[in-house]
Amino acid sequence: MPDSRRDSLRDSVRDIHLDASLRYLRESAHVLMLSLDKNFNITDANPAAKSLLPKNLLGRPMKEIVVDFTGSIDLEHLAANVDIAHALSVSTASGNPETYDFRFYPVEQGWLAFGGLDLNAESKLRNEVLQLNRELGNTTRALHVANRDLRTVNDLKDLFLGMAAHDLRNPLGVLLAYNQMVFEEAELNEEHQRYLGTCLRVAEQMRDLINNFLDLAVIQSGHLRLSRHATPARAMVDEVMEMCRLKAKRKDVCLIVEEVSDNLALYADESKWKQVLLNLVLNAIEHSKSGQSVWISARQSGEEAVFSVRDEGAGIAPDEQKNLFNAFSGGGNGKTAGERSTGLGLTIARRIVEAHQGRIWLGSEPNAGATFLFSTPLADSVPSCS
Amino acid sequence: MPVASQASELESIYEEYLQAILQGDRYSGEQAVDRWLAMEGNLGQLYERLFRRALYQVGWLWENGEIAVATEHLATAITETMMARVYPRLLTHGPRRGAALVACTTDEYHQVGAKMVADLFELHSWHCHFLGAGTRISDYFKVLRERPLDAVALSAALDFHLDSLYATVLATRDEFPDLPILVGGQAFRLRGSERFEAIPGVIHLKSLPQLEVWLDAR
Repeated sequence: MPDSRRDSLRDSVRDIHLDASLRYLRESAHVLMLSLDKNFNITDANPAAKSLLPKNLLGRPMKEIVVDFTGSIDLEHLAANVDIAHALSVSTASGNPETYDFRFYPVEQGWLAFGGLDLNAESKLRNEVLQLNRELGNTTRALHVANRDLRTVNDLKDLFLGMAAHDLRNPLGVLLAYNQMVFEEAELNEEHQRYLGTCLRVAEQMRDLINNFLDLAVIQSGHLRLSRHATPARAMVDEVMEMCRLKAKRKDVCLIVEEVSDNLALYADESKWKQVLLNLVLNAIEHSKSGQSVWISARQSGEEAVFSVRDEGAGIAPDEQKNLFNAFSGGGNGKTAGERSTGLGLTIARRIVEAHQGRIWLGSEPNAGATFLFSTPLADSVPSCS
Repeated sequence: MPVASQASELESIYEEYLQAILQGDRYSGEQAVDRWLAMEGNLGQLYERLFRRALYQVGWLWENGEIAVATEHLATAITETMMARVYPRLLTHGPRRGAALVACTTDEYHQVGAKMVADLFELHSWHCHFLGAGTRISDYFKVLRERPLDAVALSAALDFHLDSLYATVLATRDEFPDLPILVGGQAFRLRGSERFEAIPGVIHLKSLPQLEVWLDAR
């Protein structure tokens, strides 16, 4: 074959290859292809660019679709070297910028710009995201199992605590009764009376602790049953005052009923609500010094009866306030005569109040005495009750 | 609802779910799972007839060049998310019937099948240690040696991982002669399981219901 013919044939093949490549780029490739004039205005775009980039692309300067926070991107400068790919972030129709590696090729009318994705980076990103998703799923799974196991252990703990407390209470009751009898009736010298008095106090603390454990076990197990009916606030307050009077007198703390609204009746389980009030008043006495006072009130607020117990003690430090109503949170700090705290009283109070669809909260400023408020619906607001 | 009508409704939900995961539409996938569970509360059935079936179909579409690998990965990821959603429902609180280790082989990055197996163990009141994709052989044997186990289940999704799985099974049998070893996964679809089942105490499970039968018999 003559050389001229061979050259002609090679040129033809090359043209066919070029045509096919250009057709692929223009019509099908997932590559952004932009025709730019000499001023870098977009004069044409392939379907991939038209679908991905913002609408009304043609006629716009390319610089408008390039994300350039500092205004430092100079397209003419970038286009000067065709061998270097430039990572440019472009605005897209979805609003999210995407980064493409752009190359600029000079043509007669201006430039042809091709933007392609870094496939290695894309693949790596996808695999990493998938791996993270798998790990997240596995961790979530492990957390569910841990939660299930913790709940099981917690239920067992409650059951054990309830059983232990229940079995301890009866023998302790016998112990207390006989101790009390000996203390009151036997002829003891002063030293023996002191010893027995200490025994009695410690046994009473144990009884309180056991009762709290039992209360909490019942509440935690979801077996707290309330017998709610219209309950006059006045009689309840008077009764609790009477129960606390001796303890207040021993500490020289003055109990003051500030206000109890006339005819105020709440929809409550009388015994449980009294338990809450008693707990808070005794708590207030224990946090008071000689000569200080504790104020109690019960008033109507909207459709609720709101009780309040206020003392003049050291108050509650800000860091203690957050967990005040959680079990064993240290709310017993600041008792003025070394009284022991089980750390459960406020937790039980909160649970009982919440079972009444009420709420309990601290209404005082830090370090300025403590005011506890707790509420429950009025008897009048409950149709079946009124 | 009559049985035939329910079957037809479940078939329609299956199609919705398949389309949702192929489209990468997690929200529609969630809705399909919720509708399925409202009609058919059995979680074993959910895993077999919805999740497993849909993912096998996705795998088939990929093998036949009808979807890209990225689509297959997304569909799998969505299904794993759906499994995580229903997982708390299948955790039982009663006494444990046994403890199992479920793992993928080294270099196997398809963990969804193994996770289904692990979930079914949990559903049947087994305590399950799940080692996910790409479990290192040293980690696998560490758990085997440290935890009291009643069974081990190994999964392979791609057939070129079967040799690695076979080596792991042999090493396990060598060190723990009496421990039941369950093997399974998509990898067994093209190449047989005969050489595995020739090892004493090794069982090839062809499907999730077969696993449930095995679990019920324990």
